[in-house]
Amino acid sequence: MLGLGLPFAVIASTTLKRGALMSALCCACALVGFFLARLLGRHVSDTLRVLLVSLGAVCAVGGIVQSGVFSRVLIDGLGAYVPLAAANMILVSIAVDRQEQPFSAALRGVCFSCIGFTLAMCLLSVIRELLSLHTIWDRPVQFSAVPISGAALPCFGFILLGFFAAFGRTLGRAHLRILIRRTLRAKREEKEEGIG
Amino acid sequence: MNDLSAVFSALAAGIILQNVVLARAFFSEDPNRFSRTYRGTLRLGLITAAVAVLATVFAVALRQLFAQALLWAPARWAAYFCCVAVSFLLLRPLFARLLNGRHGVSDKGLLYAAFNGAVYGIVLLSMANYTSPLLAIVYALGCSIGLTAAQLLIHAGSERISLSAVPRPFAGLPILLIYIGILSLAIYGLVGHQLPT
Amino acid sequence: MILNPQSPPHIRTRETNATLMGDTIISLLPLYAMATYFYGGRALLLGLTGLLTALISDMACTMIAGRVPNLRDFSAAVTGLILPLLMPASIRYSIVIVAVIFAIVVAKQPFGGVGENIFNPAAAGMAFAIVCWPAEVFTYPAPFEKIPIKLAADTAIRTATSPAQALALGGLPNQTPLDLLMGNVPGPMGTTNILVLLTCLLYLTVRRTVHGRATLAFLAGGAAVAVLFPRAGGLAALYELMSGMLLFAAIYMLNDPVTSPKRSAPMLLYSAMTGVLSIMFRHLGRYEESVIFALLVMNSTVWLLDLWGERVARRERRKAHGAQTDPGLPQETGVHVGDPEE
Repeated sequence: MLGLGLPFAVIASTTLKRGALMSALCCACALVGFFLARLLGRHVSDTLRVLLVSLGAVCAVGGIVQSGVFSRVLIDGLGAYVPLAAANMILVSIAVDRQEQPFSAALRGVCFSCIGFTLAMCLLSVIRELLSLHTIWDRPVQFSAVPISGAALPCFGFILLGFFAAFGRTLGRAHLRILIRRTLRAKREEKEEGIG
Repeated sequence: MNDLSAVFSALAAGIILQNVVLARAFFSEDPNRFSRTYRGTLRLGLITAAVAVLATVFAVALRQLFAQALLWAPARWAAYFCCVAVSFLLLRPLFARLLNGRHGVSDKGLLYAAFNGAVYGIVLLSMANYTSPLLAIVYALGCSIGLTAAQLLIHAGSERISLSAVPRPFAGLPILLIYIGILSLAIYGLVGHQLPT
Repeated sequence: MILNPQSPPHIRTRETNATLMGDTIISLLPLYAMATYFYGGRALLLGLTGLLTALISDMACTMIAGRVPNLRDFSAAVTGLILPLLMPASIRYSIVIVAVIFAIVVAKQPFGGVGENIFNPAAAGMAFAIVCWPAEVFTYPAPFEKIPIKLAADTAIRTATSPAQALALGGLPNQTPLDLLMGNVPGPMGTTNILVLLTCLLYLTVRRTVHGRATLAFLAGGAAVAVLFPRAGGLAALYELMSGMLLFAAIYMLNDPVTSPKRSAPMLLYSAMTGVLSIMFRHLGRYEESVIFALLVMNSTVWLLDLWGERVARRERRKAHGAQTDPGLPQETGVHVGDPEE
């Protein structure tokens, strides 16, 4: 659920290409921020750690933009949203909260969060691009539904994200119920075998 | 008269226009995490506004001194972020009064209030939209006022939602995102769709 | 604590959700009759489409949530009937369907269903339609242009400029105020006939379904802004109040009992502010018709207005109780069970 804390990524991800770019930037910031935070450790105060981690993330974004991995047109189209990927609550959380966890557990958490965020963001942008432009990755797609130009708007992105979150929560609860049922069944069977 | 109207329109633009984007999702992560009262939300807004406006002042001064160097985008981004950082460090002792009491803001809340996309976004947009130093600062002030007003609205909304019989899958963040989405839709009717760039 | 003993039952009104919504549906029927008179059977079919879509989506959401659908809850039907009236008679059926689904599935059900929504569902659905298909929503057929039930893509329809569009362009409409009164103007199919709307308002006020004072406060607020900042000369202020969806929204959406304030003082303030914002949005906003957006913005402030209203009411009660008690006796706060709102 990392992406739910990055509203600017939601606003900017109106097409799959933009969604992929925002995901890449945010994940790069998260990983750079994580390693920087671990490097600094407890030697500095929380405030300074947050400052340095965020600055490192801004430099990481700048580096990615300058490397030419992504097209200039795409980056210019996003404008101020590119550096905004580096100033977000997730980085503050990485710099402050995850210091308590062991390195491997924290790294695993950040990596899975990045994967989850990328999947969520790409799914969101695919739906928005399909509904508004009837394209995927700028390629036209046969889609007979009425085009909804409002799907490209920020408001639609938030509403869709809200429904995603509700759907994810329902799935999670259903999964938990299945696990609980299995555990109870296994315990019951053990008891019966013990009695037998 | 022209200067006055330019100042007024920059202020109005900041309060109304840009907050379609900046304010809508601020605190959408967990609005009640850092402020459980209206006064607490107001204090957070004050902190955000103070950091944003002072950071814009520094950014304006930097642009005057190093105009050439700031033409390179990564340098500009890093420089403006440093302005946010420096303004936070300078204002932090003054925030100590706001940290205590029933409506107080936690230390972590302070960090979240200062180092989030809205504050950085205000600085970036002020510098991108206005070359005049006064208009950029006024615009940043307008954005901060609008941001605080939007935070109060969102706090009121979340308080109202908490009293409703929201279905369990939607309880908490999902319904708040939907609320923010419909509110954005309402404000869109006034300002239209402008992705700030 | 002083209790005011009364014999049960303590509910003082016979009004239920069914009666409120039933009155609203009855008042919408003349509007559909006028729309059919001006534009043909397509108007009726659009209404039926909205109604069926609303009922099906509401029932589906209720059943997914694990609740039993309440067949006496007509709130979804009201939403489904209101939305097509806000649109031109030449609108596509698919747009009506999507707008109604948005109204029910996004603006109503996730907040808890009937009685719990924060935003007026019809307003939210209409706002979504305006934002997604502005060209289609604001293209109005001329009155008495009989539109075929099935509209092909190449069918030519005679369109005309609505009064709201004329005002947005900075001029006065071609039509006279009498034309606006009789509904002989292009516009949304249910909002142009001012005379019928005023009759519906009278009916709903007598039935106590709507607050007549709230509608008046809304119109007063809008009139104030229209008079102080006219967009054109002459009778521009009058045209502002009679054009577009303004009066329709003042009757059917402003007075929604769920999304409007509970006490009278906040209700009057809410109505006046909505009127002011509606005209302001018309002046400054990007669409010629902005009452929907103003209403949604004010819906988000209703909670704050209710809190303020409660505080004021509590202060008044304390003052009244303080004036009644003997100053020699210890002061007590009075709580009146079953205290009426007014």
